[in-house]
Parts: sequence; C-alpha cells; structure tokens
Amino acid sequence: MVIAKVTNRRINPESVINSIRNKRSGAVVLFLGTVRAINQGRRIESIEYEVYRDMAEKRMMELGLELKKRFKINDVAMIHREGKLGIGEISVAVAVSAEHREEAFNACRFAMDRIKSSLPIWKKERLEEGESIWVEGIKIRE
Amino acid sequence: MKVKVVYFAQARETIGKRREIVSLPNKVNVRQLMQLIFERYPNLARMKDTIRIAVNCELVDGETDIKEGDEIALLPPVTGG
Repeated sequence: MVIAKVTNRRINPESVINSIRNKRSGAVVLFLGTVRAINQGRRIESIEYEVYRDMAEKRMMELGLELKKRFKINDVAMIHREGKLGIGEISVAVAVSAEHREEAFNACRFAMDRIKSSLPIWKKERLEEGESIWVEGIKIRE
Repeated sequence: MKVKVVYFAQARETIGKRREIVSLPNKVNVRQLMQLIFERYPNLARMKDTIRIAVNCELVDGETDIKEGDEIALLPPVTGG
C-alpha cells in the first residue's frame, strides 16, 4: 500500500504509523521533518508552504510505487503539510514498514531525498523581524 | 486554443497572479509559449533559467506540443521537506 497526501491539517505521527503497520512487518521506520527556529542564522517566526497539490500528490504516489520496486518493503506513507506552520510543527512525515529494518531505513531515506528534490513545494520563511523570504531551492528533478 | 497557465511561489508573486487563461495559435510548443509569457512579463523573464515547466502535472521540455485545455505550470526551484 502507498499513501501519498498533502494536507493543511496537523500531522499526527501515531496515525501515520498506524496506517502502515501490519502483521507481515517486523520493522517500522518513521521520519519527521520539523520547523527549526533558526535557519542559516535567520530567526524564524513561522513558515508558509506553497504546494502544487495535484502534481505533488501524483509524484508522491509514483515515488511510493518506485520505493516498492527498489526496496523490499511492505507499505509506505508520505504526508506533506501546506500552509502556515509554527516552530516545531511537523512539515513532513514518511513512514515505511518492512520485514526487516535495513530496507525500511534505506527506503525512508531515499523517499526523503526525493521529497526534497522532486516535489513542487516551496517554503517561505517569515522572520522574527517581520520580513518574509523564499528559501533558496534547487531546480526540480525528475 | 485556450490553455490554463499556473504560477507558483516567486513566479506567482512576481506577476501578481496565480493563474490565467491564455489564448494561443493552434500549433505551439512549450518553448514558444514560454517566449510569449516572458515577453508579457519581463520581470519573470529574469527567472527563466531556473524555472521548469510541467504540463498536466508532468515535467516536460521545450519541444513538447501544447494542446487545447492543457494546464501549464511554471515551477521555480523547490524547497520541500
């Protein structure tokens, strides 16, 4: 099973984990990305995520199917936030279940690297001084 | 023919709109459409080397032909995660 979703609601880690747990799996790996208070010396007040939702969900679903081919895993869930997030909030969650831990760790890392480089998502930092800036990104990859 | 063009992040802010309907001659590829858009919005043209284009949610190159009703997205460098 692949779950791929963009949401404007808070991500609940426990429900993400429960969505991919099953009796065939002896390993569950969860990665959470959270909003840092300081980025490259800038003091952050909040972050606004802009998402091209249709394309992001489509590409996340394709990524999930690729993960299942590349790694010996059972299920994977990828959830990304959009909208305004405060410090410490969860911006992204990736959970993978597998028979054994190594494949689960590897798949989770691979998925996160792809989420950062190949999804149409942009973040804007609102700084404590009141200014807002787009974070410098990378050209989107296939 | 008519197509929908959608703008994100810095591209959206630079031109002050999220989407628009653009009327085109019948045989146009992505490169030609981008020329037209960058002529219309000179400030956006400064970003052209960093922007990638998606048609109906698929990344494409300049030679891809555009069809009636397509959704063309301008994607500045990304920062997901």
